[in-house]
Amino acid sequence: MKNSLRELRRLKNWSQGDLADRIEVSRQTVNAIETEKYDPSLPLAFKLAKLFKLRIEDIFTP
Amino acid sequence: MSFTFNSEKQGGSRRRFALSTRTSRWAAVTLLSALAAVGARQLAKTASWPAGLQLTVFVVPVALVLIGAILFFLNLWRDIAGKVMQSLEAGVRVGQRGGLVREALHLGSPAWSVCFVMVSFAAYSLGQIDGMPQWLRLTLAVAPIVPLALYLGSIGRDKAAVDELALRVRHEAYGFAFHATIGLLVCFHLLESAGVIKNLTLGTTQLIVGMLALLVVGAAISGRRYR
Repeated sequence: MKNSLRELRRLKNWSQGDLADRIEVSRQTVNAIETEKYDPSLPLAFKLAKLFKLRIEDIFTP
Repeated sequence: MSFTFNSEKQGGSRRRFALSTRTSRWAAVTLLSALAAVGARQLAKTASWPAGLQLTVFVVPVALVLIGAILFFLNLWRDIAGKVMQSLEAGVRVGQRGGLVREALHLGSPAWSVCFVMVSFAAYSLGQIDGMPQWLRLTLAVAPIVPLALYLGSIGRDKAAVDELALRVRHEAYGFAFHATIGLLVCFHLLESAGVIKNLTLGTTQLIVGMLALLVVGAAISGRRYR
């Protein structure tokens, strides 16, 4: 699944660690999502959407 | 591999304590050497090698197990001590909802599994001593139940503490170890029935060591996939 997490994070000037702290996961998880090696669970996708004030489908595209 | 560190009290945050690469590496070396030692022992029994070669084949992995175990525990101690020191520097702090948050060390399931293996090994070794009273023999036989219970309890706690990717890595490692063990057992019995393997038996010890080694391999493969 494609996602625009890296772009969104860079817009906020956050490091992967910063984002990881905000959504309460490890930096490795953020990295795996950004590199599209791992698709997050629905609760985590909702957390990301809430954090960036977007809809899930604005961040993730099949 | 990670441990839960700092069980929270009254609204404190939960942090994770990750083993250093060096500690994980020595754990892997120890487990793989133990597997090699068990294999070498069985091979030495069946093959008609000179006594010197038999001894060398067995002694080298055993030496590696000992060195690996010592270095693993030294590094584990360094990891834990470092985290505890870090915690002490922070001191007792006020939680989000008020009240003091007491920093506490809680070892997770990997530590309890190692503890279980060590207690089982010690209990088995001591149980071989002749002339031991029956009550002591019985006590030794049931001693591993305590770390086993703590291990099983810590699995649930760990599951709640790790994030979803770590949980997936762990599940994949368990799945890999389980299926690979079954596959290897089937292969072993097929080779045995075909007469390729003779006078070689697979006991509980070999199975446990093998499964643990496969668990480490599974975790390494799965961890690398999401890196």
